[in-house]
Parts: sequence; C-alpha cells; structure tokens
Amino acid sequence: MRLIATGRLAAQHLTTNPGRNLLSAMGIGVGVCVLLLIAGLGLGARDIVLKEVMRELPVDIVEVIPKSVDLGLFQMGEKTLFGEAARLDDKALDALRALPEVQNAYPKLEVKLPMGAHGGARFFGRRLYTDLFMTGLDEALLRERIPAFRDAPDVLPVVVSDQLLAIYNASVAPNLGTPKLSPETLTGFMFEVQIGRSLMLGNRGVKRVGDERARVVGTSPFAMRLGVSVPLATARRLLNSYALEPKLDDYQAILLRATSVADLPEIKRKVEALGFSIDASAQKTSRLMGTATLLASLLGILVLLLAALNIAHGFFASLSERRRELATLRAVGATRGDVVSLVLTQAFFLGIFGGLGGVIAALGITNLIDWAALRFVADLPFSPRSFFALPLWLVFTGLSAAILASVVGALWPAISAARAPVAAALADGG
Amino acid sequence: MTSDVILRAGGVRKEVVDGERRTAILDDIHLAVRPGESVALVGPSGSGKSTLLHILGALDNAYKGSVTIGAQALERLSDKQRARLRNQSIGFVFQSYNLLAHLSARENVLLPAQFSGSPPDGERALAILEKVGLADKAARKPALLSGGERQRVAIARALYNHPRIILCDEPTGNLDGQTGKDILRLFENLRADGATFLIATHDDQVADFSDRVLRISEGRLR
Repeated sequence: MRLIATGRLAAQHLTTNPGRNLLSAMGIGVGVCVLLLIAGLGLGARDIVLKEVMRELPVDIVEVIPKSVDLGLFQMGEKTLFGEAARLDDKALDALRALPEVQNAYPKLEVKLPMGAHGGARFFGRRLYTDLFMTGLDEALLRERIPAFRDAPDVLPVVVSDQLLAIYNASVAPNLGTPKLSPETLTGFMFEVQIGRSLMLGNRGVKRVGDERARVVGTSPFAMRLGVSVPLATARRLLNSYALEPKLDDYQAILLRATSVADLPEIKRKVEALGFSIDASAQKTSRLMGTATLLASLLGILVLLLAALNIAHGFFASLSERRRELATLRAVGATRGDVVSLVLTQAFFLGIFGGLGGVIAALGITNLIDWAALRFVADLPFSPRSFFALPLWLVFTGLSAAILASVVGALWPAISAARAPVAAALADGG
Repeated sequence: MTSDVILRAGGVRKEVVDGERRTAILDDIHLAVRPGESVALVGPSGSGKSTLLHILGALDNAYKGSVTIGAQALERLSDKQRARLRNQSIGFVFQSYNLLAHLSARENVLLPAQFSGSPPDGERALAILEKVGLADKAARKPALLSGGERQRVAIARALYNHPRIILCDEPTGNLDGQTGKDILRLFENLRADGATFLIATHDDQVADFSDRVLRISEGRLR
C-alpha cells in the first residue's frame, strides 16, 4: 500500500518540472544509447566474424589439431619448444574413432603442393589465374551437402567453401566486373590446375609438374575457406603423383562428430589425454572480441556515470527547492525512509524514461546506419543484415544500467533530504 | 488529571549554539492542553512560539525537558514512531498552508493517508472538504484557490486522520481580516465537534476565540 502511494506521489511530482526532468532523463538516455551502440556494434561484429568469416562448426563437431602452445594471440607448434608433438595419423584417427562418445571422425589432409588455377573464360570473359591451396576432406563429410557427389579419376572434383563464394560475390566480382555466382551456377564450372608450380611457392618439394582438369561439384561449409577441397582419395592421389615425399596420413586436423553435445567435455578431455588439442580459435576470437567490446562499452558506462552525476546535481538542486514540500510530508507522517523512497522512486521513473528513450534512440540509429550502409557503401563480404546485434538481454542490461545510474545518482541527495531538519524547513516558509 | 491532558510540556528548553555561545530560545516551558480546549499561544515575532509548536508537534527533537502527547513521551520515540504519532495524533495548519502544488485539493487532503498504511478514503476527504466549504473545488490545484480556500484545504488535511490535537502556526497570518474571521468561524465549528487546538499567533482575534491564552516572550511563558 505504502509502496503504491509512494509510486503515485513520485509519478505526480514528475509533472511539476517537466523541463528539468526531461533533461535529466535525456542524460541517462544518451548514456544508454552510447552503451547499446558500442556493445551492439561489438556483438554484431563478433557475430559476423564468427558466423560468416570464421564459420563455426556445427555444435556437435569439434576439430582436433596437433597440440600447440597457446601464447594468447599466437600459437606455436609444440615441437619447437618441447620436442615432437603427437602426429595426427591413421593410428590417431583409429584411436579417436574408437572413443565411445565419438559418432564419426573425418580426417582433413593438406595437399602440400604448389599449384595454380587457370580458366573462367566462359564465366568471366577472360582467363584468370590464381595460386591455389587445397585440402583433402573425408568424402562422407562432403556428401552431407553434396549428395550427388561423384568422384571421377580424370577430373578433380572440387568443393568450394560457402564463405569463399560470399567473399567473391561481395568483393571480387564488383571490383573485377565479373558476374556474381550462386552455388548452382558455380557447380559444373571447369578449370585447369597446374600442379607442382605456383607464383608464390615456385616448385619446391615436387617431383614433377603436371596439368589436371578440375570441376566444381558443389559448396560446403567444411571446405577450405581460402582455397578448395577435394575428396581425401583425390588428395592422396595428387600427393603420390607430385610430392617428393608424400605423407598420406599426416593429417592437418580431424573433425569429430559427437554422439551427443553433452559428450563434448568428455571428448575434449580424452583428446587431450591422447596428446592433441581441440581447435578453439573461434572461441578465442569470440573471447577477444568480447573483451574488446567490453572495453569499448566502458565509454557508454562513463557517459552513464556522467549522467548519474548530472542526476545527483539535478536532484540536489530540485530537493533544495522542495525542502518545504518534503518537510510538509514529514509533518503529515512521512518517515525519513519514506522521503528516501519517494526520491528514489522518482529517480527510478527518470531512469526508466531515460533508458527507454536511449533504447529507442539506439534502435533508430542502428537502423539508420544499416540503411545508410546498404544505400551508400559498396557491397561488403557476407552482406550482414545489420552491423549491430541488440539481443533482448543487452536491451535489458541497458535499461537496468539506466535505472541503476539514476537511482545511484539520486541516493545521496535523497539521504541528505531525509536528514534535513523538518522544523527549519517549515520555518523557512515564514 | 493526567488522563485528561492531551498534550503536556514540562521544563522544555531549547538552545541554539553560535560558536562558543549558547542562547536559550525556549526556557522552562510548562503547559498542558485538555481535550476540546482551544489554547492560544500569543507572542511577538521571534518570541519562540513557532519553535515551541515544532517541538510539541514532534517535528523537532533537539530540546531538553519532556513533552507527552497522550501517554507517549516524545523523547523516547524513534523517528518512525514520531512520524506515526504526527500522522495519527497531530494535525498541522501552517501560516503558508504548505500544500503540494501538483496535487488537487482532494489529493492534498488525502496526503496523510499515503503514510498511514491504510487505503486513502476519498469519500472521507470529500466529506471534510464539504465541512470546510470546499466540496465543489475538490479537483482544483492550490494555484487556482484563494488564500482562504488554501487554508481551508490545509485545515481539511489536518482533520483527515482524526487527530487528537491540531497545532496551528499563525493560521490567519497570510489572510485578510474577513478571511481570517471565516477561518476562525470554521475553527469554532470544529471545536463544537470536539476538536482540540493549540494556536500560535500574534493576532488578538485568534486569542479572543480561544479558551485560554498563554503569552510567550523571549522564550518564556509569562
């Protein structure tokens, strides 16, 4: 009952000095808006990097890599410091497949050969060349997205990464004036691959140079991001044919599909016991970007702190003017606690109004920026729908921060007002 | 006899400190107010009557001596208990009305209910406003009321919680002669209903209306 009465009194009082209250609420609103914009931009960028650029694996798949020493941003192969690291070979593959929590294991073999791709006259109107990087992937993994996959000994069946296609469409095609491609139009595209020589690597480590025909058979999220992937058998054939010292089971990584997501911690433990690591670069990037976002969000928090100071200043001035009013409330039965509650409730309302204003402003600005980017900025890779991510929890955090800043700002003035001598305040009026 | 007394003050003394110097602004005050009585506390400006009224009304607890309202000794009450006493047992009427500008007349009358813990009784507020002759102006804000009307609203507010005593500090001080008389007539009507008044004033009209006059000068009752 008393709470409702206090709320009603506080709300009624907000209408007495709308100009000052609006200014105080605006200070809070600006802080919340800045906080949401910075945090939203950070989260949005992280989403783009993780979902589009780094493309996280499905939740039930982890990537096992040779053990490395983590030095924060950099990783170092363990053999450089602590001797030879455990190799990801067929023996390791069998051991990993044997884990009861693992449904399947898919090896990834790097085709360590210099090579370059020529072709594209039909698509692009001229022949193009690029150095080429290639991995061999387990066919079972490739078939998940390309059911009609067929290996052909005379033509290299090539799978292209979804992300590579997105980058090409967003950045390469507009700059070269070439047409944009969909997975369907790309499938069936033929080109020549010269194996054993490339612009960057020359012809190191090869026993011969030769030409192969290649055909794109589809796209896959598992394919090499900045290169192409071929079935494991094809990769081994190429290594056998061209490499001086072919290592056919020296895998770059092994993808493990867990029987259940709940088994992942146990898989991680067993993988580490076998002397390998789980690739956590996505999580690390996520953590790094999260930290950067948090640090940048400090700017918003700083603005909120300034707003809290402004609230404190405003309340000191306002409560000084309201000394007699508060003394009258004391005279009719308000306790010191009632006065503090009344002032803090007013601050709470200011915080809510300011916070909501800040949220609305932030939503407006993010939409405006997204609209402007779409209209005035050239195509970006991955063409995000929005540069910002404003999940509900962030909006609630912003609102809570607004209320907190407002209430904390008003706390000291409220306590001072409650402690003010009543008789003196009443006597001031004559 | 004690049970007949609503308000009693014994040996009340209040000092103000200015550096090393202590000055008594009230000294050795003894008084008693009985139910239904109207007592005028008359004295010139600066004589200490408002200060005494604040002490008797549990608004100022920096004094020596004793004050009891009913059976409650103010010196022994916590801030919360004093607030409850003010809410339940004391009505205040001030010279400058002290109405909340953003509330209507009816809402101002209901103000004590906000701190009493019981739901506001709008019917009662209207009934009291009718008693003071303002039922038709219940929805008006103080700015739209005359001085006399504002003081009537303040009196209605003082009456809301059935106080044992109404403490008035220069209730006619801001009013012209006729309006002041109207207010005193209202006090007479309320007295007929059993209200008890202690009125601090320098207005002889108010003193004439009272059963008893206590004269205060330089902080002492004469």
